[in-house]
Amino acid sequence: MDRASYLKKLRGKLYRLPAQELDAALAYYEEYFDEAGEENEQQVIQQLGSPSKVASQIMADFALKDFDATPASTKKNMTTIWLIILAILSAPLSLPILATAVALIISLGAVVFSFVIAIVATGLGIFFGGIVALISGFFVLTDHWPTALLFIGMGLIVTGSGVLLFPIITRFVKKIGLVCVEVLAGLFKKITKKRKGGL
Amino acid sequence: MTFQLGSALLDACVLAIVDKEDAYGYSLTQQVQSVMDISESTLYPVLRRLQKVDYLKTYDQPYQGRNRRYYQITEEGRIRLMELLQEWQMYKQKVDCVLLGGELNG
Repeated sequence: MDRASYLKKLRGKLYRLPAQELDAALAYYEEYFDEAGEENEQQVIQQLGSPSKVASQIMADFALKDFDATPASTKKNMTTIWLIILAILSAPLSLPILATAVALIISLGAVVFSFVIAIVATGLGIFFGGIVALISGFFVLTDHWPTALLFIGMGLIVTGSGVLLFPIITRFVKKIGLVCVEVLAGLFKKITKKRKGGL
Repeated sequence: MTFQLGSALLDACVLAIVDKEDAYGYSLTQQVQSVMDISESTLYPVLRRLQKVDYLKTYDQPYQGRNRRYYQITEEGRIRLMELLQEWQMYKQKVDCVLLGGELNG
């Protein structure tokens, strides 16, 4: 591998970063090669390690610092989670550790996914259950008005509590996103700690 | 190096080096490597991070027909360096005390 293909590979691995970040990183490594001198090109490539390794360090640092620096939002949580997952997967890890990491990420994803689905389904179930009761109340209005009133009243109460639940549910789901980011960040730190000079 | 190096200590080293004199990426790596066993690729994320929290700023200077990006410490960076130095002193004293059997003052 020569300098040009090394830098090209690095660019390829970093393409998910914002353009400004990507350019800064590429400029840094170009200068690094320049400073080392043309005759040391191979040596520099060897010392830096694979483009994947360099890229995963940059991405992980970017994901975490960017995460700390700007206020939380669900979309940003997702971006951070995604960047950390990519950083973990592109890190040069031994196969067993990589397999464990992948398994952990998948099971974490599955748990979180089913949890979120369950909560949202409960909220929606209460809301629509109330509406159904409300509507059936109107249907029996002409046949038996006390029953109708009971149904309508129940429907209003249940729908109302469903509506009240929504902000709580959204906050809860956001919180889960945050926890995911922290767990993943912890996982990343743990599995990369053993590397030489790891962050 | 036998002893693990944390990111705070790495930050401190980088800030201390640029506090003495502005430096560019390659020379910084060499200087840090002369005291710590870090890989060549470790420093870039550190520099980028220190830049983002305004402890470092950069400027370009032409050198042999291309640009060299120099890193310079900021006022905030100096303050941070002072804090880190104080913490290092305390830490060093405590470790020395255990390892060398000295007196622990404070």
